Amino acid sequence: MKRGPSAEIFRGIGALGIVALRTARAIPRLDFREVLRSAAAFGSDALTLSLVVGAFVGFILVLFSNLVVVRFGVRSLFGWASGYAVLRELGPLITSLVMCGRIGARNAAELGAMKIGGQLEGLVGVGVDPFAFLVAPRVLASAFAVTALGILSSLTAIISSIGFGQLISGIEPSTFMMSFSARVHPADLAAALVKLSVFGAAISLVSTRTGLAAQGGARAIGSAAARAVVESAAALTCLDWAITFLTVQVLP
Amino acid sequence: MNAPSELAAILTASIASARENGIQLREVLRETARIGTDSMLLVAAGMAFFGAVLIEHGASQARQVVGDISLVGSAWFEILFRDLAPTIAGLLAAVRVGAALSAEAASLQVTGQLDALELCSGDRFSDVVLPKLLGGVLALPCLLIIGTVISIVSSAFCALFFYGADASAFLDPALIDSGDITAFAVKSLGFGLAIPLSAVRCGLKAEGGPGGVGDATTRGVVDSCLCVLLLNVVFGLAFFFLKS
Repeated sequence: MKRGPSAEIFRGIGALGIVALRTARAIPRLDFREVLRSAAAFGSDALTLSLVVGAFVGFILVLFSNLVVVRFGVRSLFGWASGYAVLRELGPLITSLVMCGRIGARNAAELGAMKIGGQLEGLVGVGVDPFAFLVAPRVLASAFAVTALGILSSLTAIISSIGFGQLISGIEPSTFMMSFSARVHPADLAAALVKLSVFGAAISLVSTRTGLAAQGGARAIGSAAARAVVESAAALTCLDWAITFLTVQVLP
Repeated sequence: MNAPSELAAILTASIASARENGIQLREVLRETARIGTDSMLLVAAGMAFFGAVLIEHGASQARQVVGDISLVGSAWFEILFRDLAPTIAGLLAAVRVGAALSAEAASLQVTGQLDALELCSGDRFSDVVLPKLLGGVLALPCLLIIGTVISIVSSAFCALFFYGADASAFLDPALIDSGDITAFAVKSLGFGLAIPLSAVRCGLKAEGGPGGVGDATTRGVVDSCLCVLLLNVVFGLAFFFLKS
């Protein structure tokens, strides 16, 4: 049956809710070795990528702000601008968008391959709950992995903006650190942590749902992975606004 | 580290095939329309939220530094137009287009359809790869323009309704010069070529069964996102040194 787009959206949200609830119910019976194994796999796979992304973000930030910094002559504020922009917005958002691809698509492709290969039914057949054994550990692990990698890449971004700031805008590291330490607060780091952990959970839940919904042959795994990326990117931009709205009030 | 040489090989093979077999205009238009319409919703919705997010940040910080947020309006317009909006819209498009194109190319490759095409005296570059590349080059500028306009309008709207600031300051293109427009055009064309190119490279390298398609899609998305970030750095540096 061909359904309209709004019916698809409601179905998607419903399926997401079911995945989230079953995952939450499976947490007490979790296989912790599997959590550690998948966290290590997700994390080590994407470690270099997150450092590279961080370095790029720092560099791009310097190029962005060079315009304003030079025109208005506010070199003394650059450390604050960089710390604030990286921790509150660019670090979490850009890292998570790339992780949608690295972790989300991979998760969906692996679960989709298991679904299509009949391995999930096999697990049920031998009396193992796939949610406790397979799904919940992955959801937790990728949420942890995205948070940890996001913090690493934000730190890399700040370090790279110190380096490139000196190179391009001629801002001394000591000037950078002065406004950085005076104006960047623990609340900014807390906001980054909140954003990253919510983004990580969203990426893992959405990609798990699309992976489990895969049906058909080789093409279906590709499209499950592609849908995981797209849907989690959409969820990220939407959540980003909601979290920013809240954190600006709660963690000023 | 043979990715750059493979990308160059695909590009030269596509150009050579275009010389030999001509460009399939109908196929190019179809890909353009598909890439454009498929990504439109994600880019438009994402950029609307992004504009709103930036105003939240801007307002919370402007209160501490300058007091009135509309003072930064025209500088805001320039930064959004020149850097932030194309970057984020490009990333969103890279996510959408990179995933779709690499999944498609990989499933063609894994199921042997590309070989079948060549048995029927087709050519994988002129029939499959080139239309995707040209489609990207045509569709990405449109997507970036729409995304940028939406983010600017959305931030002006939020500034007006949530913070009561003067919205016209955020719609003031006074600081935009021809250099900014050139930067925007070069960036969008560069993204338009780089995203499909890196996605197709990962798709064509897919091997193995269904799992190979998933791996190729993952790599395609990551590579296209990295291309967008890398091109930002390259173009940023180029414009910086050209100006100074």
